[in-house]
Amino acid sequence: MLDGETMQHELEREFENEFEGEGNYEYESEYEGEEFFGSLMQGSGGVLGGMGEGEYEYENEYESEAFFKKIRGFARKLAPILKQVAPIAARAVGTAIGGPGVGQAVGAIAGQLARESEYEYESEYEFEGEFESEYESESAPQPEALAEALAAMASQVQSEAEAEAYTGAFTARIIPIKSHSMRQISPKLVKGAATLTRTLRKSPATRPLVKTVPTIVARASNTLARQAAQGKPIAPQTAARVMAAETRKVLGNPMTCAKTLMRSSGAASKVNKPLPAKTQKRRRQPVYE
Amino acid sequence: MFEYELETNLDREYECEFASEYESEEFLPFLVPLLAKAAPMAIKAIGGLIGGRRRNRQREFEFEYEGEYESQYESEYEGDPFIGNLLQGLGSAIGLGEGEYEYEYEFESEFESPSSSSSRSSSMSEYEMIMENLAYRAAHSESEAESEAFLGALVPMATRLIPSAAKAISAVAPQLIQGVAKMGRALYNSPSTRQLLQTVPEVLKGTVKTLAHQVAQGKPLSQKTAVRALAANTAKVLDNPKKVNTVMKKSHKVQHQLQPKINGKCRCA
Repeated sequence: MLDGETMQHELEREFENEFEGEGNYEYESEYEGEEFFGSLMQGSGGVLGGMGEGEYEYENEYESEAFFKKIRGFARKLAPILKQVAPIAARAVGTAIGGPGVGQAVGAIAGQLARESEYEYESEYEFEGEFESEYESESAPQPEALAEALAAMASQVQSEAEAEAYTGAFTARIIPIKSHSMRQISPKLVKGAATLTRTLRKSPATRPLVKTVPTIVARASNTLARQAAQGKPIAPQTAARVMAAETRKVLGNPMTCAKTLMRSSGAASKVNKPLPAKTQKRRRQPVYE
Repeated sequence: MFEYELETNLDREYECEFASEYESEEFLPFLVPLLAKAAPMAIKAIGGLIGGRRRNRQREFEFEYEGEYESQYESEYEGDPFIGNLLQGLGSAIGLGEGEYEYEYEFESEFESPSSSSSRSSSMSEYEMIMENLAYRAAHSESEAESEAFLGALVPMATRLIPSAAKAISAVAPQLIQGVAKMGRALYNSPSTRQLLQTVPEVLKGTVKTLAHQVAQGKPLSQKTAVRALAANTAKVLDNPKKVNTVMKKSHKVQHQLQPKINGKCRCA
């Protein structure tokens, strides 16, 4: 099992490689903020303390202050990207599930919150461990290891179609089918997750963020399932708003995103079997005549 | 022509958004040549996952150029011998009734149990109904990528149908997902075969049953085993026009059960 330091190094390496590349990206015009992909490479540091939401989900070895500082450092690197990708992703998800009207509305909210969040993070930075949203008052749902492994595959494969197949698979694993309402809405959630994956995969800089999609789906499913359990029908617009909100919460908060990525990598590594060690073969010594 | 193909206002009372010509008995003669083309295409696509080393490079090349070179290799298959045998056996079920069809593969004879061969229960579990809906959406999605997402979602649903073997089958889930994705891509490419994606739940249910049987016998599941089972069950469904006809009718009924509000009347069987 990877320790926190190793995981953090691996994740940083994954994002650093993307940061250092040249930004010639091709994007579809339907996604606003094409310019943001170029600006991703400008290396804007962004002041971001990144106070998370008070989740301490790791084992004892991870709860050290040193480890928390590492997460903060990682979150600081993520911040410039997340600030710009969160509204776009939220809008894409909202549109995919609820239609253009919902997408535009949630995107506007997400954009406004993203602009406000810079100040929010700076002020909350001092209040470690005290901030909790209503969703984090209970333990946040965590996707199972296989779902995280499938998400890791979705972030790595070259083919868009194959990535979406993995996305559909882990989404189906996560969604609890316990009521008629959840049964009705599950295809919409699959479509939303696929759209989110497609959006994040557009740029090499944001492709690793696909690993956060299982957590987003798990949170959204949990909220919708609670609503369904109360006997309330779930309209597509409701599902769109919930999923867009969870997208914004995870991608819009660098600390949450950093912790999600590290947990995802840890869980996925448990599923992936280690490669067999290469056996050292003796080379034949050349014969010189 | 078939009434399902008419889209005029005069025939509005007979329109049904979930109907398909593939479920019509009159369409069976047209289904035969279509399946004769679709079945080997789908099986080869799945077989590419476990091809030999040389074929793997060729398959990667094929994959990279989106099937541009596929026609060259259509007539020759030198990959996995099991897949080769399946391809050679295709066409034997055309014209035969259900139950008269046999594959020469190690799973079939061991699997056939009295309950499964005669089970025509009309009740479906919730997961089965969701699978039918997802497959319908895959067949009618706007893009190939979206279609793949719906197809990928079928695998975990199918795994849940047999809880006792779910853990073992989950270990080979990535290979099943890849196989379904490849099959889906092959069928989605052509509008005439796209609707056949609605048969994928039936294929996956058979695959999961086959693998569960292996698990019950204490045999380990490998990636190759999973892919072969998927290919075999694909052949079992797509090589049988009557089976396809039945599956499409069932899918049509399920869509109505899930979405009871329809705009017009439907000529349901």
